[in-house]
Amino acid sequence: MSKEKVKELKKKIEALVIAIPRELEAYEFYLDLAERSEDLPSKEMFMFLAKQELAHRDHLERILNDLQTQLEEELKK
Amino acid sequence: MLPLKKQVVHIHHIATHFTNALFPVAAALITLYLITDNPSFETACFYSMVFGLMAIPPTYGSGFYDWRTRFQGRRTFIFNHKIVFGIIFFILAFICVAWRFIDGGIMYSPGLNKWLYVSLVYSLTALATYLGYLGGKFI
Repeated sequence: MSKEKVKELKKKIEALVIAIPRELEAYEFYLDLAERSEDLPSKEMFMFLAKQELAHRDHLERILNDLQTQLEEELKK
Repeated sequence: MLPLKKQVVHIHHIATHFTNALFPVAAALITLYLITDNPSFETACFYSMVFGLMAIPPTYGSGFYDWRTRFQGRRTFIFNHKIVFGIIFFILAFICVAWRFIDGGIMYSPGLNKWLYVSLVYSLTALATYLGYLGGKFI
């Protein structure tokens, strides 16, 4: 087990743990704006942005799972 | 009306300002007492800590809920430190308030106890600063 590698992985995991809820909050923020918008172009734009935030969150979740697998493997060494 | 999850997150942000503000204020008041010998500052210090201590349960409860829901209860360096130092903070705050409650003349008697009590009051400011610093990473 490389202590440096474990430390680096833990740091990355921590950053993602903090970042993921922010993506979800941004999604809820745009979704709320979409619901409040009265004209269709604004509604569509906010819905597009909301979907983007969800996609970001899914992407970050995948990276997080990958990093956690790497960490578990590193700790087994 | 905000959904429950958001409301609790807001409660945590609000309540944490009471603990993070009142204990440094208590330290400032005890310093003023040491400088001026005016007993009003010492009494004010005690009441600041009482209200600070009362704000701890909603702060920790909402923080725990926030951690379990928003962060899925994940254990990382920041969360581990917030939990450990939060418990230490609560114990020290409780000791300070209970001590001053039981011995109202602690600051008026000579000896080591007075300085131990002052050190505890100051250590709470240091801990509140560190906990605030960790919490700031989520904003």
